[in-house]
Amino acid sequence: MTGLLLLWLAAAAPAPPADPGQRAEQAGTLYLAGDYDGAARGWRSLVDEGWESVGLHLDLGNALLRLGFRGRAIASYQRALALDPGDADVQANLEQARAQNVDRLVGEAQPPLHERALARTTERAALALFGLAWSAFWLLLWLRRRSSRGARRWLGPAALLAALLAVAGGALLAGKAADRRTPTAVVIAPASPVREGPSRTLKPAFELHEGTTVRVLEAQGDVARVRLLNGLEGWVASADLEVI
Amino acid sequence: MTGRARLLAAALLALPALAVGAGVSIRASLDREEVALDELVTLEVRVESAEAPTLSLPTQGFDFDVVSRSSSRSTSINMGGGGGMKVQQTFAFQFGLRPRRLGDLAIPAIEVAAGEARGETPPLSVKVVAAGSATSRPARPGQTAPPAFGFPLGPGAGATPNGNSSRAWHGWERDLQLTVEVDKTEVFLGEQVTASVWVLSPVGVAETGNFKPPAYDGFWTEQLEVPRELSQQLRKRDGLQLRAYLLQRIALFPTRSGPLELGSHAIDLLVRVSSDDPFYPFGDVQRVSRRSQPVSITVKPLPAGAPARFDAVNVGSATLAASLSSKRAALGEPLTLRLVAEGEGNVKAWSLPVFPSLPGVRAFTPTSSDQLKPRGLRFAGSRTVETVLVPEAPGPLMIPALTWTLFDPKTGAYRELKTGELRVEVAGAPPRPAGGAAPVLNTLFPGLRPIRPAGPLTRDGEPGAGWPLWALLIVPVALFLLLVSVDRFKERHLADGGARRVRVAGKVARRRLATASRLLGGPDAAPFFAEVERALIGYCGDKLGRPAAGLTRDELALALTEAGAHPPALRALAAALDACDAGRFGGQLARQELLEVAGRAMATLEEAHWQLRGGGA
Repeated sequence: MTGLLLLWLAAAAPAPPADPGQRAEQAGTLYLAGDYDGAARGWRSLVDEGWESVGLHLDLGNALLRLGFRGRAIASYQRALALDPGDADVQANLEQARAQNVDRLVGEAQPPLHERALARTTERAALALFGLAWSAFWLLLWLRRRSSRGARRWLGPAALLAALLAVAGGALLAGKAADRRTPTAVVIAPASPVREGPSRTLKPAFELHEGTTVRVLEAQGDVARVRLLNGLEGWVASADLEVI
Repeated sequence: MTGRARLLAAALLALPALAVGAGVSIRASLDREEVALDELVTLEVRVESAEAPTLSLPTQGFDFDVVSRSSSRSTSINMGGGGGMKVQQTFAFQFGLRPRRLGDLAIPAIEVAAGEARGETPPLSVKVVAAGSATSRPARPGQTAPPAFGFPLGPGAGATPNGNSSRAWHGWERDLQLTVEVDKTEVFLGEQVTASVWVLSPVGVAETGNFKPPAYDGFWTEQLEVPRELSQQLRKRDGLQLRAYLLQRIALFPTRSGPLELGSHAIDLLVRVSSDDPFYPFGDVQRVSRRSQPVSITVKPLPAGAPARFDAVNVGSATLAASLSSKRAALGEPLTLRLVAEGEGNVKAWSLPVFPSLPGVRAFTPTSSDQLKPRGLRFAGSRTVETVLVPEAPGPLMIPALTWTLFDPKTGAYRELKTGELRVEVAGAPPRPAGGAAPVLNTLFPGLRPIRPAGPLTRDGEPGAGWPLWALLIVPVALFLLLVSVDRFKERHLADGGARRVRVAGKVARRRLATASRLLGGPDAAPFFAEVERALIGYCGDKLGRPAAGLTRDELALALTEAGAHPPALRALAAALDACDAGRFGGQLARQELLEVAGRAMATLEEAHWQLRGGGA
């Protein structure tokens, strides 16, 4: 099924208009007409070219979901949430898609505060926080240097606060960079055997099913070492995953 | 050194001599001389030695299964009459043996190694009678093998090293068992067998570990109960009060017919053994392992006469119900047909009827979910199968009755369960979306939030990887450094201005005096006198680094004195200023003469050692 999907996605769309906005609009018209294949193909080509927006990923996720590609739909919704973690429509659709997940993780722990903050912050927001706080810190230092003794009393703590915010922004940016090294992925195969090593001759320890989110720790050839949210690790075929 | 410390030191010095004199002996005994085929006989081997011994059970001619083994060690110190002490270590090994056949069975010699010493137990024998026979005859006195290695035990031989043969062997080892109880030993294929794994013990069990259940080959298993903590019940068996600890209770569903065997379970236990020793009343904790006996279960095939569509996994007792998410629907609007089977049996394996293909309705692949609610010792729950149906033709849609056949092991008969017919009114064509687009069939995920305009599209990049992050890092720091540099430059410039004024004060004053000399011949004397005074006061102000025009003569003199001007210079300045006032208001002094007085005052002032701002002189 995955191979067919790849072939289907690889098929070239007939002379698409150059303007990405128009192409997205055309795909939307196809979707409303019930042509989910055409719609998904149109939006997918935009994503493959590097275009993105919350709406684009949401629309593509809806089309994939209606076509039955639940794992790929979940991946698309998660891309949308990476751009805007607070989008209620995307959250609701992602929840619906995940409701049919077969895998129920035992021992899934509540992520610590910094990971939750990381999940709810976009990279741009982290960059903006860091940039503003960093600039404010140096500006306040300069003002303090020039100001009278009375003003220095509040400029000092203000500079300290800005420094702390800059550190927080820097930590978020570092977290995002770490996320890029161990990216999140979604299982897109109906069932994917998980082995204890990279060799396919090993007996599968357990199976993952479509829609389950994992973190990719490393890749070797056509297999990848993944970690589940409850800490379980194993090796799965890379083709069974879609990296977000 | 206190009296207690002296005693301890004396005891420590005496210990090596006692160890050298310690003897080694081996004794073996059976707890009974006659045993039934389904009973256990306990073999005890006691070794007295300074080092921990190892035992090797024979492999040839050994017609017993070892179902349990345990070991313990005790140390005794005997005070001799000659003033010496004797320390003895006794290692006791107990083996629970289950005979494999009837007749007089021999237990061959068991090899024992303790450090350098080697030895073996003498052969023992036990009579095995048919299962079910009463076998309460205790071991005959001669059944206890004599000591080996040729080291006599000395006084008290035949008793344990503690001099109390009953302390080490109460019989609790024999009565401590791991047992598996099943509610049925003959069941139909797919019928539930409830198996409970118990530890039965005459002594308290402190801890369990390393529980190893068998593979349950031929069974589908479901957990019914696994106690989080050990809790005991009291039971009586053969007149003996026992503690019963439940380890787990499982539901077993045979997956093939014929004789099946529930293999042995194994577990390690820590038990609390009471003490008869009045000098050691606290008891002891011993580690033992136990293995349960296999349980045979006969699985009967399902009786003949099953209906054509019967699936062998459908065994149990249940009810079946069908419902629709709505009784009315628009054309193309999805409906959910929900089929629920609820009851006892292997719920997760039940195969519910499939929605048949009907004209005018499109059925999607059904999804199933299970809700498990065990009822006491019975595995129970419900299985729900949901099928999304999309009506494709207007008018009444009839969902026919669905039939499900179940084998009920309680009655031993097949039962056919039927749902009622369901009816849905399908209205006409759904409204077309604006813009003339074709109707959309919300077949999957009907509650999905709709698509939206893609909005402004951007090329994805990695904000942290490109220049913005570096720019954000560097630009504020660079701006800060630039602003600080500008400030410093300005400060330095201002400082330089003050010093420059000090440096060029004399030059400026002389320039003003030159200007005054050009006014000598003028008709009005006031500008001349004003210029001379400006030259003198301005010189003082520049040297002092602050305006001097508003100062009185005394204040000016004081400031100049503090700045390093010597008294002759001050007097010259005062004379020049007085002459200036006199010339301006009284006209007694010629202008040329005033100019000379002012010039001298300037010359005298310039000789002063000024300590002024800027450090110039």
